[in-house]
Amino acid sequence: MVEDQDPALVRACQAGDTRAFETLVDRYLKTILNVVQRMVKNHDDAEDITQTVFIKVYENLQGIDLRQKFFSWLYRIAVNEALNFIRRQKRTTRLEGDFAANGSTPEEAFVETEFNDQIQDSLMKLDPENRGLIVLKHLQNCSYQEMAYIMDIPEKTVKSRLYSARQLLKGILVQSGIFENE
Amino acid sequence: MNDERIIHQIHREIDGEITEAEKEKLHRRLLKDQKAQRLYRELIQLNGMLCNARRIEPSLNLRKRIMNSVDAKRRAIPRRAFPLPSRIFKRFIRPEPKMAFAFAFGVSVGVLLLAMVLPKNGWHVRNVSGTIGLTEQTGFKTLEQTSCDLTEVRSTWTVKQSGNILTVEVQSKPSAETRMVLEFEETRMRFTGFQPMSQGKITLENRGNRIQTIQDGDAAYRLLFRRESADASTFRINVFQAGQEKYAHAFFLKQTPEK
Repeated sequence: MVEDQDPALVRACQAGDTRAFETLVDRYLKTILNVVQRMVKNHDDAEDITQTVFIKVYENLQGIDLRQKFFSWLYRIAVNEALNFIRRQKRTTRLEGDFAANGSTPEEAFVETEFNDQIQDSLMKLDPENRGLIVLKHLQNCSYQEMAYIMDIPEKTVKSRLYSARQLLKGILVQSGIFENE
Repeated sequence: MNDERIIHQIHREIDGEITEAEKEKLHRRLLKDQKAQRLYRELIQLNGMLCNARRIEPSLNLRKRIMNSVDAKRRAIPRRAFPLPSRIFKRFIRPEPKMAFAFAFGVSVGVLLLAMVLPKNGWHVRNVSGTIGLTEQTGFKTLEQTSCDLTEVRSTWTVKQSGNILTVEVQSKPSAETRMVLEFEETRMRFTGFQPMSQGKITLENRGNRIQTIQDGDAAYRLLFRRESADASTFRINVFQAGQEKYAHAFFLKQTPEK
């Protein structure tokens, strides 16, 4: 598995090997961008946050605990950066997702018929922490233990929040007509 | 299993956290319980929907943006020759008179020593007007050429090699004072010489694995290096004007064939 090589790459980075860091960027760039994009929706914002994430990773590589999986640590930084961004956004302006929730007209709905956009819009209606859990579980296939570390909450809380986030998302998808309730 | 327990087990199965024995028990229960069966199907469908969501591709320049920022960070962090433990600094946060005197004396001696040592091992700054070092020029083969064609600066870099000697020929026409930094791995390359190819004033600074040139007019010159290792390696050039990076490029040197 590629992640088995991560500790060696991290050690090389700590010794000042920039190419090792480039390898880590190549390995995780797309994954981190996808996690962040699902959290914040806007692609440009997602790319800016992803850039910040990798800079923070570089700056903090000396302090990384190699007993912890590198990607869990990376996801933790990415999720925190995305959550901080959302909090800052909330203080200044309403989220794009909120517009869709409150004032979508049939015309707007018609324009946004693409399946992925609808999934993304539904995700945006969840609160950011629940959204983070859904993204980590269903898009990145993280374990409860990894999610607990990434989100900095107990494993028990991960389970209960994930269950209720799923129920909420299902409800939103049913309301949007994407998901058929039996 | 009560209702709450079965819902819990369904979620755990979706999450791949259930044991084989629990899974078997759950599926036996699902056969008998219509409500639980419906929840199970819905969650499987939801999971499939989310897993199949389209993956987003990063834009072409995102990787470059990240590496440029990291590169800038790396340069901004000064390398301490003598890393001092923080406890030594802590002792001076609230200095007593004797300690303050000792500290000031220590700093003065340190500065004096550094002033003596730096000209030997630090940046060598000089305005270059003639050839320095090894300038062998026969049998060179062009490996790579790159150009930047900006309003602020138009430059061409040509990398040539003959045996283990590498030259980087630079032809540059900047609109204002321009700084070019060429950085390489010290264990793979060694800077050996400089040769001007045109009239013009250039400041050359050499610090081990970083060569910096500063010019404010047109200039053409050649930098010479010796490849210390046959292994593949890279070196980078970065061009700055008024502290802002204008151009960056990485050269990849293939492994040289074994003799």
